[in-house]
Amino acid sequence: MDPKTGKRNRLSVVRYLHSDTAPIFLVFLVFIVIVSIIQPRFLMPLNIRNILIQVSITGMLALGMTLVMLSGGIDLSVGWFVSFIGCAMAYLMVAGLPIPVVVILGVAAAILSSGVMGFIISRTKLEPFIVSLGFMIIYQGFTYLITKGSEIGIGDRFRLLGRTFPLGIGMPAYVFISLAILLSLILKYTKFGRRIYAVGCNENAAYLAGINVKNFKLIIYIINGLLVSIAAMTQLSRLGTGNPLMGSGKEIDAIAAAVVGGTALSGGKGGIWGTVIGVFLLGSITNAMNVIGISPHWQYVFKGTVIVVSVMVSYYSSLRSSGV
Amino acid sequence: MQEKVCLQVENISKSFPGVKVFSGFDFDLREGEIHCICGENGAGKTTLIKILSGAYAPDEGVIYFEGKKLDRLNPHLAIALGIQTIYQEHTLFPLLSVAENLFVGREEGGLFVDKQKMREKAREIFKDLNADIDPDTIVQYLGSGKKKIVEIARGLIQESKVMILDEPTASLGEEEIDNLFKVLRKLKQKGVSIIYISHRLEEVFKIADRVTVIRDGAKINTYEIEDVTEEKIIKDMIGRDISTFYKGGDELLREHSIEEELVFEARNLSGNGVKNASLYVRKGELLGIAGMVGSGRTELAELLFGVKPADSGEIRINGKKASIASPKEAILNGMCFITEDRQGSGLFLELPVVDNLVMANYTNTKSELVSPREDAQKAKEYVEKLNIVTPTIYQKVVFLSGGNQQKVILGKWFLTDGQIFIFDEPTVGIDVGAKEEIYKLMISLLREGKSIIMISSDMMELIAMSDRINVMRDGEIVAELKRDDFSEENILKYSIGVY
Repeated sequence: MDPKTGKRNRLSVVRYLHSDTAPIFLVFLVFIVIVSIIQPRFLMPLNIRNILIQVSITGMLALGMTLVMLSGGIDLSVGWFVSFIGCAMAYLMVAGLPIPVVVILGVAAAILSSGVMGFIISRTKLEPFIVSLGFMIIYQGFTYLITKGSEIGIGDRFRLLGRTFPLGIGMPAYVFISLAILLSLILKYTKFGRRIYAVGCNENAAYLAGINVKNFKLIIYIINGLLVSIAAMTQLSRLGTGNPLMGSGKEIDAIAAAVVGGTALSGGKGGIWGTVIGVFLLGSITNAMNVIGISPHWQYVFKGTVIVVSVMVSYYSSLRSSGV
Repeated sequence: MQEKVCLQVENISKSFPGVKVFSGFDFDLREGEIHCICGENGAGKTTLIKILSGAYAPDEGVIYFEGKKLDRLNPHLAIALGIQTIYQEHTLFPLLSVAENLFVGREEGGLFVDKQKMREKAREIFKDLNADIDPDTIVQYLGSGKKKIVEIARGLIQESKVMILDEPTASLGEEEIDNLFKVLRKLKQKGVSIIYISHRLEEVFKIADRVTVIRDGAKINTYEIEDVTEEKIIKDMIGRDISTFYKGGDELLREHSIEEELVFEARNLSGNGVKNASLYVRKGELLGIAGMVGSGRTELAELLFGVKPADSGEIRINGKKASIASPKEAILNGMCFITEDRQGSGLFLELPVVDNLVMANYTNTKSELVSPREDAQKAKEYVEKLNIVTPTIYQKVVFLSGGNQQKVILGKWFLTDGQIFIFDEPTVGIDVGAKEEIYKLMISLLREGKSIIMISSDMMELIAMSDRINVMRDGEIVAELKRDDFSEENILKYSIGVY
């Protein structure tokens, strides 16, 4: 590596090429170029608008997942958590409660549930993988208990978050991008943000540097719960119905997006913008299949390949940068 | 009586890249004898065990076993030949029964395991050893002493001819030690040869037939136990030339003034394996903490810094009672803790130098916001100040050398502007040049009026650097030495409890 990398007078483009997100960003660019050469309609504004709406809800979950993973944890429960909160809110709306009250109750329930899970994970040495797996199944149960297995339509209620289009772009995209900007600023400019990396990288050293690691992890899971509740509300608003399957499987997409974006499962490595790129890359694969006219069943094959290739790319680029 | 030699090593050498050399070592073990090996921390005891057990291949030299030259040795082969090593930590399967543990890998029976037969055989062995252990007990419910005996019994089942015991009594009570000794004498009658590693001289005189003293990776002497005294062994364990070892020990280089003011005081601290420890440090003073490995020094430091809670006692800082229940409170009280385990608890290996440097100081700053630009400035300042060799402050710490990593840790604490520094083994695994730099940095801290508590196993380092030394043994502070009383002999005597 160039000894002057740290100096401010370097071209920012060159500096960026040395950063952790550079390889995956290049993969993303190559992907866009190839798809748009095959089918230029891919880059039409209408299509981009579609992609934005399609990726936003998974994107919000991926942001929360990134925080959890940076601190060294994982949360498998977020998919069914979305279904649970979304369906519960739909149920309450249909029962006639005013929207603001439902929103407050929904957010409160999410914070409480994630607080309980965070408490267990932060106070014990239990694997977050297992604990959150348990919570995932609990949320699945609650979802079916609330819905009795069928949808709860909310009709024309609660359109703001999912069914409005300021400047022609869907509201979910605004929510997702604002959250991404907010969180990236928090990661860079607050003690809390810097400490996430420290805790994820080495808990012992973080504790000795004066960080209350237990409470810190608890707070991370609560923030994740808050993000899940926002995603759930957005999904409910967009679909106009509380569907039991509205969130199922999304935890895998969220983890995949974070990992593709360079966030390490072992913690301490990664960041918000990598995840955002990962979200867009994985999200636009499905769209690209449709636009090009390939059977949609191929999307899983391509998605899986992209995940494996991108982690390989970042693995080899980290090997290269270690040869200082 | 003509003794038969069963294990012999000739002219063994072993070196590690840049660290320590084990050289020209001769040693022989007679059949049916208990042979003790004594040496200071770092004298080479562990290296010797690893060579004999096949974990390390020696660079030079020959090993003979029962008269035959061994061309190569690995752990598997060693056990097959009958050389069994019983390490300080237990290597049993805690959730299996005693009998199952004894026969792991060599179960009785054909396709199906014959549990009854294993149980009977186990009972026979314990009866033979006069040990009261039920073969059906699950191992995790046994005390440390009985676990040791189970490990020995496992060796017997594997028909071991040589057993190497590394500090077997380190975590045992007196009664357990007596029981263990009975078992060892029984083994001796059966013709098993035992290499017994220990730094507890009273045990050595109880159990040994012969004793070999090693120092700096070389054999000093082998004695018949009747022909030797404790004083002689201690002298052999030390016997080093101070002046050539540590040049920074020059009085002029370490000159600093100590003020009367008590900066830090601990009164009757107990807990975490430490018993009733009291100590103090003055402004500008360096207090050394000596003691053998396992004497409770690190545990004491953990109490002082709030890493582990104290059961009783109090800490006073600048004369006022301070509540230190967590590292956070310790930092807010101006304390710093440079741990022994750099990678395990000192560094964020995957994070850049700058994050490592500023992280502890976040505990002191009021605002929740941080400025990457200011952080970078501070980091650059300390990289320069401490002469940390790194291409940029954004380099991940994992790619720095050991000495530079240690300096990053020091920088992290210097940046908190702490007043009281606890160093745990500050120079372990650091090459000589970097060592000197770290000593100089410590002295400059003292000159700025900071106080240091330094735990060290390196006698020369303690003697050269300390203004006062507290010696620990079995969790207690057993002696305080003034600079005039400093000598390796004194420190060692109190460390091993011979005075």
